Amino acid sequence: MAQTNPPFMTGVPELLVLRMLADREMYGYEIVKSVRLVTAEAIGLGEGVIYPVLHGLEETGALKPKRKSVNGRERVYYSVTAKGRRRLEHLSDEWKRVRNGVNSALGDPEHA
Amino acid sequence: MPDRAQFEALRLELQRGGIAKVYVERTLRELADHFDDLERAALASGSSSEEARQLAHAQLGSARVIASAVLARPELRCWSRRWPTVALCVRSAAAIGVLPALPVLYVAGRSDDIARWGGAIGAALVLVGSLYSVLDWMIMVE
Repeated sequence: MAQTNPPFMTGVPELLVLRMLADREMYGYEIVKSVRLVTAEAIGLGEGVIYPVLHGLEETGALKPKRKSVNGRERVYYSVTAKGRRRLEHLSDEWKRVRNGVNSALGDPEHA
Repeated sequence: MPDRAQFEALRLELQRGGIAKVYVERTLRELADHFDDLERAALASGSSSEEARQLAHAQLGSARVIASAVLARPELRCWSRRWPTVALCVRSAAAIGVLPALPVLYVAGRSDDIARWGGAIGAALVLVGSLYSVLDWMIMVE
């Protein structure tokens, strides 16, 4: 199992998934690779648990799945809907608020 | 291919947990594809086939961890598990609606049975009527 950050992960998988998909549509494996790349592996999403996150976002209308055949293999590509973009904006604001609070508590002069 | 026994165990756990069938099937299919991608990547980086399989299994995560992640999402459950009270009302209403119709539904399409039943009732009536007539005649004669 890949290393995860359980105590700090509430809402983070959704935020990262929506952020990755905001630029282009991707399938599960691609999303995990992108998260590893952009976070310099600081955040390790357990790879198998990406699917409940994707399906949950799909069920709430934030993502739209599309089946595509690529190189003879069928993939489910996910793209962000308008509702998903609003959710991304909300989660980003929430994350910034928490980050500023933590930085302030840690004595970061920029956020004190 | 991933470990079939682990996948079947995962399927059972998700079904027992009330996850909608569509999400059970999609989760398993997408996990299988993901496993293939991980295995191919490991093979491409020089791992032996056994090492690649083990690495892919480790990166994908155990069935128990994945099942917990799916079961923690109520939005993936089938509607009868999400709204059990509504499901109970619908089931009860359906049962009440169907019960009176059951005898009608039973005899519909069984014309032979109905004909035999009618014939038997008719024969019984003729027999009983004949016996009464004989008894009446015997009483009158005496």
